[in-house]
Amino acid sequence: MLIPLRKADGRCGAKAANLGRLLRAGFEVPAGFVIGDPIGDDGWAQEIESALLDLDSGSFAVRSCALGEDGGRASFAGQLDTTLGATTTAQVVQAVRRAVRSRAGPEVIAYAARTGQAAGNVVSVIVQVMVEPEAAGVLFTRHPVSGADQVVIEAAGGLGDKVVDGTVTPQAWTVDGGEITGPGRAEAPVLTKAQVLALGTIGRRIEAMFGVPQDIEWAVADGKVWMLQTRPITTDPDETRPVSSEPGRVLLRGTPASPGIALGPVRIIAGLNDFDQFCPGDVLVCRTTSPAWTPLLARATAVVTEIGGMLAHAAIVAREFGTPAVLAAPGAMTLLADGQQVVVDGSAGTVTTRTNDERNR
Amino acid sequence: MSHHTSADVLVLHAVRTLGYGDTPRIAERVGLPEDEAREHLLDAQAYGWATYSSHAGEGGWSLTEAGRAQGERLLAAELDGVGARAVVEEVYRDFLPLNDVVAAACTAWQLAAMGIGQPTMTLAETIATLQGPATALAGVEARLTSHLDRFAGYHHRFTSALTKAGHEPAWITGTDRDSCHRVWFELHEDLIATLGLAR
Repeated sequence: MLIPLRKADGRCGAKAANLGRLLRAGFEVPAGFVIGDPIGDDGWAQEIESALLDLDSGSFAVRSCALGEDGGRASFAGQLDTTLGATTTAQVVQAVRRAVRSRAGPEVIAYAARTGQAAGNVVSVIVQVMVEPEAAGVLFTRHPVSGADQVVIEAAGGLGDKVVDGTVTPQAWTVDGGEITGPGRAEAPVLTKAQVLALGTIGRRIEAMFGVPQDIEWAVADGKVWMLQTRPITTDPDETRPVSSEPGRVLLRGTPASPGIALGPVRIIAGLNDFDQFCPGDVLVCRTTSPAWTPLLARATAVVTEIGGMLAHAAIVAREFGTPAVLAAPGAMTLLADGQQVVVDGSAGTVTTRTNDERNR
Repeated sequence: MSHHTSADVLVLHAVRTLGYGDTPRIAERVGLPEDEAREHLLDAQAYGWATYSSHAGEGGWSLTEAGRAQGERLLAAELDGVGARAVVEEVYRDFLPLNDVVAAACTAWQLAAMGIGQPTMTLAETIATLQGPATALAGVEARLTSHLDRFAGYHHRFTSALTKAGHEPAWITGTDRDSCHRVWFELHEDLIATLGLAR
């Protein structure tokens, strides 16, 4: 049975239901339909050709959607059974079958057993018109690390898949009321100011509609802002309030990537040959890190890098060590000086000068 | 037939992917007796490719910039020698979306464990999410080892870590063990080194 995306509800799974709700509220969502029960009812294979004709597009995106899924982070598993750019009916049918298989495989059944859900959960599949974005990315209506009440937008040119790759720094903006911060780098921004503000506004409207902070995937294509997915961020504001750092002059801002505040002397490490200059307790300042840098990350008081994001190697390892980290702080290696005492606030994403108060401790 | 990399190159490359490690660990990674691995490491040190340093009483090997460049030259020659550059480039393109899933899952799990970000990411969900890349890794490794047998082992190490994570969550992102994140990141470094890419 095929259900127009506009009519999707909880029976179609959270991902489809949220998109249906967005459509009904007037948000721009690529047109599509949901195959309600592709395992139990094979009738969809007959209906799909005319449904695709109705969508009137040259290219389609196919994504699965498990009913047990709450639309939260578990849906990362869904990235593996997504097919982008299917063009013929046969390709779409094949993509639907692949999506179903990936959802009904042994690992999914094991997962269902672990989480106490009935195994063999009904799975639905979403087929949508494929948008060819000029830029795409994610937005959070609350800062995902610091918990601050601001809209955080991360974007890259083209399809949004590069945004979560730690080896590429997405351009990032924060929207706080009408005030925009970012992208803070010399290269050409992939979004205009108007698009950033529009995303901020749309994010807030979607958050208001769902009643809780949202984590939204979006794309800009043909001058329109399209919503691709929305799901709740459930944080406890009391736990996520950042500890405010001592007032000092802000030297640098970057992505808050590992929480906590630390004070120490800057040590700029340009490459492997500088490793012997690093002393335990230093604030490690570098361009980016690789496995060779782990011993330095282990002994650093704090970490500041010029590129990367929340998902980069330096971020993951720093969190593992409980070391405050600020990533994607442009110019860190030139704006900071060796031996300079700085306060790194990994919750706020700032590097500040040391205050008099701290000097006396 | 799959190409077998010579021991000296394997040892130098293990220092690159491990990042930092003592002689027994490097020897274990490349499957050589410790004495033989040590000989190769001392050779590399003599050429200025590797350096031995002590951190908090524990010594280990890491590469110099010259060693890093030398390693990339050797790997590039090997790659072109067996005619596998196109295959490895294709594998790397397929690896990146999987890498996104792994990095995002590790991050979500860490933030949840810290009580910030998204506490909805439970251990069971994290493990379930990592099952996809774990399964895909078998295919990735098979494509690589059909040309270069030195890529063998990543799938086994990753799935072993994932299995242990159910009882001990440190196997997800721990830096003191062959955790999911560490194994995955070594493969990432391996691919970058093999293709001579900049990070």
